[in-house]
Amino acid sequence: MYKYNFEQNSQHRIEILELSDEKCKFSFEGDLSIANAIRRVMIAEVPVMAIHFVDIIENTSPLSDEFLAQRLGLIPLVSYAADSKMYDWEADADSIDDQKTKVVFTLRQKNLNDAPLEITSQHLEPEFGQVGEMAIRPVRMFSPINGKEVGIPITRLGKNQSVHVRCHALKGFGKMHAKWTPINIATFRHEAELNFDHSQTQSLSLFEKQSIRDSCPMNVFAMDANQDLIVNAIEKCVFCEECIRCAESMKKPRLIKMQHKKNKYIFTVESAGQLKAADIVQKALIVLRKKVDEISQDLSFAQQQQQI
Amino acid sequence: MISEKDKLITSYLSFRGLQKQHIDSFNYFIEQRLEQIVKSPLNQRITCESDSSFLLEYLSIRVENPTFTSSWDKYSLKSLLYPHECRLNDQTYAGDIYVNVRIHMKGREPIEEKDVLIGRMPIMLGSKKCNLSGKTEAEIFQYGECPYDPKGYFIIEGNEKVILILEQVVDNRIIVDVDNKTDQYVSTVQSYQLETKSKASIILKKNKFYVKSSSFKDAPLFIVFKALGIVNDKEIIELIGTEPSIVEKLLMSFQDSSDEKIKTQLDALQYIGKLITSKFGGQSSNLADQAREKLAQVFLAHVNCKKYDFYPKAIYLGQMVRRLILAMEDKRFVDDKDYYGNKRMRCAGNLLELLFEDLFKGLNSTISSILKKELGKANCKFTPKDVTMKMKEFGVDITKGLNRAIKTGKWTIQRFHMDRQGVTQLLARISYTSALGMLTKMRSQVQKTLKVSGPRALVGSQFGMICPADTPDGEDCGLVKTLALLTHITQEDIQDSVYKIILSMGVEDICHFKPSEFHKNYIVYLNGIIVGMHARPQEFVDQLRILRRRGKINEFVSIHKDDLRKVVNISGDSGRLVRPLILVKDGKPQLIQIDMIDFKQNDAKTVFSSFVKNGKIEYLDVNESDNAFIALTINDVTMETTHLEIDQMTILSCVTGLVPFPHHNQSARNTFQCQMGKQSLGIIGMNTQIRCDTQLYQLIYPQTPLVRTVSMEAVNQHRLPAGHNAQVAVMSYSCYDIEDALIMNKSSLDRGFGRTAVYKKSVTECEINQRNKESRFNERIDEPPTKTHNTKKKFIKKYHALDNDGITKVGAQLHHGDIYVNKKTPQVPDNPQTENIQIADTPSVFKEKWPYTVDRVLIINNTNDGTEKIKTIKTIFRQIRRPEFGDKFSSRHGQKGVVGLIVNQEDMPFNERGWCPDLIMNPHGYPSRMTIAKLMELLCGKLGALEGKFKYGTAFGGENVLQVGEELLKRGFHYQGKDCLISGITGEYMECYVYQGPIFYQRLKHMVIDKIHARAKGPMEKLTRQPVEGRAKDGGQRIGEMERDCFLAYGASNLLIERLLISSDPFNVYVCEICGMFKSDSVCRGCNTDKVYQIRLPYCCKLLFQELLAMNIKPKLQLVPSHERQEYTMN
Repeated sequence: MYKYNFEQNSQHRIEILELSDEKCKFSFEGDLSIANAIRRVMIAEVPVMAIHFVDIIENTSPLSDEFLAQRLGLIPLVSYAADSKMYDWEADADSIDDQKTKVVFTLRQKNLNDAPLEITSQHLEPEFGQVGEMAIRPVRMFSPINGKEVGIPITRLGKNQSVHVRCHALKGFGKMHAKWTPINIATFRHEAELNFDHSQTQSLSLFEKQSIRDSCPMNVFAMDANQDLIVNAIEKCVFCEECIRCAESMKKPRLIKMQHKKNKYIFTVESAGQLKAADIVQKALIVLRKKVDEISQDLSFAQQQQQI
Repeated sequence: MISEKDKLITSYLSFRGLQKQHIDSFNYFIEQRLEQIVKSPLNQRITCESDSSFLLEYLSIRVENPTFTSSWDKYSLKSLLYPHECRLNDQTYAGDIYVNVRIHMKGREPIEEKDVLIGRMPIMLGSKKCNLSGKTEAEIFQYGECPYDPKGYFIIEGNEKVILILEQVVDNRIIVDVDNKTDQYVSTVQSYQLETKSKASIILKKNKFYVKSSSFKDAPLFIVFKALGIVNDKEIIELIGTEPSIVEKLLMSFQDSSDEKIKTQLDALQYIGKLITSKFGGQSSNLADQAREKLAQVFLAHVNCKKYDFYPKAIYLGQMVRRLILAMEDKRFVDDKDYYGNKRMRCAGNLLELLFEDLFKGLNSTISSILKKELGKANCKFTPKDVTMKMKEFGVDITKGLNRAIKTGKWTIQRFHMDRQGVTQLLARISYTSALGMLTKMRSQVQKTLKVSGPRALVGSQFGMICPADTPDGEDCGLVKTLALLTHITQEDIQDSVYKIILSMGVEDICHFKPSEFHKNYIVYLNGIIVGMHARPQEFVDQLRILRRRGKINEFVSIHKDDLRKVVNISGDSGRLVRPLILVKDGKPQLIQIDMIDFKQNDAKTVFSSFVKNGKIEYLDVNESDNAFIALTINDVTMETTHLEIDQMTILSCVTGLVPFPHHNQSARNTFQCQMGKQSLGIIGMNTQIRCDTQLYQLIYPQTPLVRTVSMEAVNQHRLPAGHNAQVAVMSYSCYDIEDALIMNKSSLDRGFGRTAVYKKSVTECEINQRNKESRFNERIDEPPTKTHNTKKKFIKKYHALDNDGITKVGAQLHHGDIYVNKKTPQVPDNPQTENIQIADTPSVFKEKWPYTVDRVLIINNTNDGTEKIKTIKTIFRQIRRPEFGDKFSSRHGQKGVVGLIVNQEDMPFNERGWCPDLIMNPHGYPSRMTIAKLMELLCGKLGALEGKFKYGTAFGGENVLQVGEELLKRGFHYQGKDCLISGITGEYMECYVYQGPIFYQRLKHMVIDKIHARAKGPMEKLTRQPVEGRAKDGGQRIGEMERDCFLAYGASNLLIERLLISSDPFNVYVCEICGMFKSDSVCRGCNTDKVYQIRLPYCCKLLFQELLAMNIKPKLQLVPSHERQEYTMN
């Protein structure tokens, strides 16, 4: 059974291992429940913008209206400014200020040529709102072949086909629909712990040591200067137990002890482009904090009620 | 041998397709049989009873490519008709049938009338007469057709119809079998020769042989022989066999003829004449003549009989008896009815042939009866032109007859007393696979209800010809079969060339021998008819096969030597199953690697046929396979081997070809997948967007499977796939996964997993008088009513989807009860001049329960065979369906399941790399089903995804799993495909490894939204006043007998009363206490009492009592006060 260890968890530590706009890798020292909560919030509760309503004015493309709308919805929108927007349901119903809740894009294309025209996210034009880096706009996509900006494909138009739609991007979070999820990957793993039974390592021949080293597909082991088997890259271990299998084949089943290290987790967060990876983590923490605050507020309110 | 055998299969199928048997058969019918039918002596001439000088002679017949039916005038311009237009316009894809005739009339020169139209023949898509044949892929696409469409079907009034292959017992062959009823051996021949069909058998009654025939009652064998002109008893025995054991068996029958004092042929004929059941012609009263005629025409009809020379028939009869006697002694001589060499497949052409001949004869008799009437008149003004006009007029019957038969599947052939139903079926377009499966499907003639195992069993002779897995379960099991991948069905070969060749190769005419010599050598049969004898059969057979390999005789002719029966069978008849095999000579396959280079340079068809012509590949039918020694793989080849399989996978059908690694599955699972592959939703063709099927499903994001098979690629199933490569974790999650239920990832569904578009068509027809388009009585479409003060909001709302022309807008959303075509029908009054016309509202109302969007509207002005004009409005609705609880999914291994729970992504398990399943499957699905292939598919799929390559799971081949495991290991994955997963809910590692990776999952067409049903109140049956039945009618859920038993056993009696009475059909009646009868009010006048009480009972109970009264049965109700009831029951 899982138990919360207050003493051990009094200190939470985050150490950043790798950081770029798209990817953030960090180690987290602290309790598992908190680690998992961060992960879950990143997937489901960090608010971003996504196209939610689509007014179809004309659609003679090969895709049906619903199909087109679904594809539009899944286009990631750069949402640095999502914080300044309100949720649809928060806005005052009487004085609807579109600017406060949404961004509107228009897509109006007609193909007059014989060659098919590919409609991409580049063809989406914002109707109002800011411009520049902070603007809410489709994430830019670059070709993996030549590095050119290509845009995310939406549909293709044949000759004389056209699309004319108005897309309303709203603020939301991943629990509502996957299109509001800011991450591609948000995962963590427990740090591995590999220990040798030193009473047995001595009896290993060089060949056996080498074969244990080579058994690992991730090259976790290495040999040191003394031709001793050492754990070189523990972070690579994927718990495949190949080394244990190898040791078993040498009739030394207890040679290597494999464990999950408690209280240390390595997070990998890859952004889908709406937010910077580090921002996602930060915002997740803010959401989490807010939730905890709400609970404590509720608790103290309840306590007050009881006292009265 | 060759490593690129796959290429051989792919290229063979690329030009052959899976439906060649249908197309070949239809081509043969159009090109050969039509001409033969018209020129056959029984059909060629029309005479007139009232004018003997009249003669109409058919000279030739031809069928044109399909054209628009717009005009029946031959001079008008005709444009070609393409199949897609037919589907849209509800037209028949048919071409005109023209005949050239010569007419002799009294007082006129014989006149030749050319191009007389006698009807329209439905044309099979892809046949030589089809407008698509010879077109390139791009051109085909231009005509709105899918280039991958299998073709081989007909389009009748817009519906795609397939004539299924029919399996029959072979004609014209002697079959010795055990009679089910008498347990006696019977030797039977079913003769079929152009016009006549008859059955003759030799039976044994009290140790005497009798001839049983369809034309006369059972006749003693020796008398029949004598009637056939063999008067000498010794000669008869010589014909049958002079071995002592055979003679012994004949002794009892021997006496018959002497008992009846029959000495001459005439005596025997007269004796048989008395036995004739139906009188022949009725004119000649001479019994002997009648018997002679019967024997010549009907008895053993396939054996030729020139100038009443019955000797060949006598020899044949002798062989029949011989076989029977041999079988009685030695069981090896008994023929197996289920042996597949004794079966023939009848394709579209054969069936159309029967139908057309019947209709053609019908036309001839109609014309003849008209002529009798017209020419019999004193002042006859009939000209040859009038005759052809009449032919044109009644040619419509041919058109209608053909169309009706193909449309309904009812084949009624009066000549052969054939009345069969379900010959054709609507081409199932649920998935591409279902259409392919339908075109390779064969139906047996055996009745479904018979509980026999024989015809249903999979027998050895079907090896390679019929798929062992693809058959439905249930009553059709084993009776509906599917052709294997490379199986072909032969067409009739013109027999003369083979006949001449075999005579020149030392086969001596049997009539040149003395009967006593018959049984020493091998008898040579050609298509079941005795041709002669050969002294060195092995040499003869070998030489003949060499000739066939050199292309001197047809490649599909089968040469089979039967050492047991001492017979050489040469068959060139139609309907035999054949398959290509690689020839092996002296332990070396004749097709080698170098030959495969040819495929790079030349067209697949020419290369393949060059292989056949150069003796590298040969077609073997089931019978000849018995003489061959076929190696499965190149390693099995020995010096004795004669043939080598092209590939082992070809024993399976195209539908089973969908399963990866089928050889690792329990066989029943492959069979289940074959059924489910036909229900899986995907994409049915490249032209789905312009099609207008009644119901069309399309997966929004179909994916080609990661683990493919060679046969899939050979039939383009990878281009038109049906399913997704789902990331599957095999583990238990919550408890909503019991009994095969699946757990789905909500985010995957958001992103489009399993999303399906459903298109439904509805047709509104407006009848418009063609002559008077402006007639007041024409049905018309009106604009929607406008809002006035009087109209109610609810009333107007129904019309919201309509445009100004009264037809729904494209893109409008329709709800239950909305009107989508505002049609008005004028009611024709009794007196149109004076009375006002009442105009009734007859709108098309949307009946679906859930909203649909209008996808397309088609307006068609159609002329139905030029008689009545109908304006048709086809509305196509669309609905996008996302998977929900209860929707059915299946992998390719017969593992179906429904969605049990949809889970948010954050709650799903994940691994360290961020991987997260789309779908979770419970591991309990594996042990009992033993679908090892599914485990293998997952492993190969995982590697394929990592490598970015497709993996192959071809039957009896495919990827080596050990190697796949090692490759996985190199990429840092567990070699067994297991992974460490972390629970998404707690964040802890799972205590065990989880088998996870991609598996191809199919969405099946059974969806909850089509089946969900509940009701509280609703419509009642008129008669019983109980709730109606069925979802379509908003019926109630029945508490049946067994459900009632449950409530009874539980003791829920009040619930029972509530369900069966209160919520069903409660009714109050008055009952007189004295007479116990129903009364209309509280007084019984008969008994003169007011002791009449009201009771409550089910209405149908009241109904029963009244019906009993009507039958003179008086049910008397005994009333007991309710407070005394307890007491009453205790007594």
